Amino acid sequence: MITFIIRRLLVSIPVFLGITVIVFVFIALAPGSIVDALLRPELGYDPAAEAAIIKRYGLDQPLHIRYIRWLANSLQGELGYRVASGAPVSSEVLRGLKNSTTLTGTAMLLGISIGIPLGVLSAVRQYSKADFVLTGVTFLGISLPSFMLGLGGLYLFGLKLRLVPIGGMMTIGKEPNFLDFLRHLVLPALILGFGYMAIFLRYTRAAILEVVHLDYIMTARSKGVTGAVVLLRHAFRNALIPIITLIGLSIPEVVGAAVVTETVFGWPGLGMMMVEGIQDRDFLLIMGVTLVLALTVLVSNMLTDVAYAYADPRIRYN
Amino acid sequence: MKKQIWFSTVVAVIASLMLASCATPAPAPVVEAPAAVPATEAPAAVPATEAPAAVPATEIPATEVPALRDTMIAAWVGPCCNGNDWVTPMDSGGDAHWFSKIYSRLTTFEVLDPIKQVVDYDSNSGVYGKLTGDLAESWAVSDDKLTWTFNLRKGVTWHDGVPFTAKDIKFTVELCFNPKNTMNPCHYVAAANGVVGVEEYKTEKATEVSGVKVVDDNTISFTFVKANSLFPVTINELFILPEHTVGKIKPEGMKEAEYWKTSQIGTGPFKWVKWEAGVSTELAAFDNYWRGKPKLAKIIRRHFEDTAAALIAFDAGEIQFTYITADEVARERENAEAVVHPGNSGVDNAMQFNSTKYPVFGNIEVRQAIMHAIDRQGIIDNVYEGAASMVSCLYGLPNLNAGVKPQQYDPALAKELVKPFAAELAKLPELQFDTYYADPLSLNVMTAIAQNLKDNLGLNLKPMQMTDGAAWTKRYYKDNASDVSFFGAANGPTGDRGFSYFHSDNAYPIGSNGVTGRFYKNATVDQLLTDARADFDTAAQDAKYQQVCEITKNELPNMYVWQTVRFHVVSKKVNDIIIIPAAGGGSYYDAAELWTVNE
Repeated sequence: MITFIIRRLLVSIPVFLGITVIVFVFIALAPGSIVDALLRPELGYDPAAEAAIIKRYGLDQPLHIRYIRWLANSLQGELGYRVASGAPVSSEVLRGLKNSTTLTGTAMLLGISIGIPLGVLSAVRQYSKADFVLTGVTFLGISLPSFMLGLGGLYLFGLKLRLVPIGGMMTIGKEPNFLDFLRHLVLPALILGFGYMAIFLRYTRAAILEVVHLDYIMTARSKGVTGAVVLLRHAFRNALIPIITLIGLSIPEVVGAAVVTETVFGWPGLGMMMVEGIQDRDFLLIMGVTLVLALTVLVSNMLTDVAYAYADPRIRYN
Repeated sequence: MKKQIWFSTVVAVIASLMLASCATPAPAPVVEAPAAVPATEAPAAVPATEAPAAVPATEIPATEVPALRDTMIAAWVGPCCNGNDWVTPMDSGGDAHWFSKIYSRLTTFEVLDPIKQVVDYDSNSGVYGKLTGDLAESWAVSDDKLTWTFNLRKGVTWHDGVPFTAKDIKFTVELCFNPKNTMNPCHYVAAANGVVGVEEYKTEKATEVSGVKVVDDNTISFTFVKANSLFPVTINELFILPEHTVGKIKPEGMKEAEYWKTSQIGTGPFKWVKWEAGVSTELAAFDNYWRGKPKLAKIIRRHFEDTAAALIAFDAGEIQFTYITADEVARERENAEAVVHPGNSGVDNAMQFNSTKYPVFGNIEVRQAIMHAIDRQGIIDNVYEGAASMVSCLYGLPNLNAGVKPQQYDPALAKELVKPFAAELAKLPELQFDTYYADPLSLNVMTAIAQNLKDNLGLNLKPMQMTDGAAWTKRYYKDNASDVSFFGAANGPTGDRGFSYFHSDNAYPIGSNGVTGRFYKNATVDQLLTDARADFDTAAQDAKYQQVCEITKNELPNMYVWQTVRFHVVSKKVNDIIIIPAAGGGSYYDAAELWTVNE
């Protein structure tokens, strides 16, 4: 296993570099640049200012030189500064990372802890009323766009019912406290968690249904093993592989996939930061966020592989 | 039983989360707005300010004195503002209204009629009135008309107690022109471009701008190469910075300096307290503000990325003002707790038909026909719901466009005008009608224009919202790849704005006249714009700009269709607020030191 991990780490290096190259090139190819963000067309054109900005951000250099400079600086922990605030990208990304993992991590925990048991229930009670209801809820969770859920949730629970505050991470102007933080967290976490719950419910249901009619389950039942034991020890464990895969694929989302929800709720995470970076054509910020996302994807993929081995003893990495 | 326990657990988890949220939601206050648009102003010594009348937002029985909050919370979002995390005061673009709480300028504008503003929806409501002193008490031009001298207000101090002097002004101007300063572009210093020695300083051939002279602590002069009658107006958006703090920062690291995030100081009514990225920025009252101690103890800018979320927060009473679009106005006018503040956007909408790709649009008759083929008033009435007004040229201000009537909707005349070009027009393919305006209202407007042009001239325009201003800028200006474009153009604060759009010295890419490979050139217009800038007789100057208006209306280098009204919605709990929503944030006295918020 150790050899496998080391090998995966080594393979990850070119993959990681490949990701950064692709994103860097895409940003460069995209129309517009920092110049366009800094100089608003409605206020007239200022060629001297444009030239100064181009020089300051090294945009007059060839693409490969710009990339090598960025990479060299990044390897030394120097990710540059944000266009908007001039704040160091490294500290900004860490701040966003912390906020994003708090929100999306909570949402995912909710989604997993509710979605998987409901998925099992839905499979065990296939074609029952409960199954139909849960399947309907699943479709809603998967198909409703998050901006609609977000704005709808704010309108209903925030404006009409006054159960939760309207966005943000804390009540502005008051001393921060944990209860206040929870009040702000609950709605975006539930809305994001609803989507995750739907996905996990659907996958769990399908995975359980796939194994529940297999011979070894029938054998276990014919040997007199109780239904619960059959379900948990035999069916559920064998259904775990696709669920683990799904969890592994979802881990990167914990870091930066709640773009719309963060934007609607004013939650200052990586997703919102990415939107701001794109609006400002802030390639240093975009690359900083990409760096974290790429690392998360690589690490989570490796963790998923490791988890496979524990879930299914037939899988070994030699 | 196990299932019941399990379900109970799930329900309990959700219920506990919801309960955690059930404490009383925090309320608070609000404020905002920017703008553009003043008239030109008198040259001779000008006495400074008397505060204009403030807007009585709350109706309170005479005997009842409401309790006041010490804090106002607001959303500075929408077209007024660069963004929540732009913490330096001199980046070009918006946020002037926010930074005017912290900083002051040499001059500023009074709002013409702030009370009328909230009831009058004409796009010229709420325009700026008299130019007035901010840090300058008075100003005068020399006999040769080349030197402007400003007498500064005495007794003004920075937030840390250090006296403000003329040296701070010279420092600010030179910092802005310093090519090493990473806080560039100091857009607002462009007014001083013609000052003696600026070019030498910018190219590092000189160590100071020789035309800016500190006469004494309370007097400063600007000497120009050519007479510039509009300087006291055009310099009015430049925030003055403290030399004793900012001067310690290396220009090469100016933008990135911690100073802007932690301890920046100004001479405005409120002091910087703290900035939390993505969350909020907090200011506290400056007790020694020269106009008087602010009545509010704190003003907080709550950060919103999404304007719809900001409006919901406003409706819930969490913030006291935010920006709204025209289609939200009707709803907010029904809100008993809110006052809608309309204001001149200072921005025209214009169209440009690419005559490089399609030479038929190079004919003035065709462009005139297009203007006659669009039912502009109908679109304003039915799509904008009145929140715009027709313009005859770039200039929206009455003193600059007086006597110049816009083309009227006349489909018969339009068809007559294009008769000689019918064959060429018939060969045109479907034309992409692009814009960077991403809102539904703009799409509706563009669809209406396209329908008019199809019905009356047989043109096929397909609206295309690019949602990305940067992409549009490249397509339109740099690549000259657009077919037909719909865009905005700032039309103020003076007629000198025409210099950047129409003067042949400003042909793109040197300036904003035209696009790559195509620009407008008219010797008469060039001369009028040059002469107007040097003219110290306001009436004569206006007359020159009116001529520019007439000529450009007839030749249509750009096809200006209307200027829009923008809106802010302010809680009725807010008293004495003056707020003008407009593009880019203009310079006007908003009486922030008088604002209060009822409990």
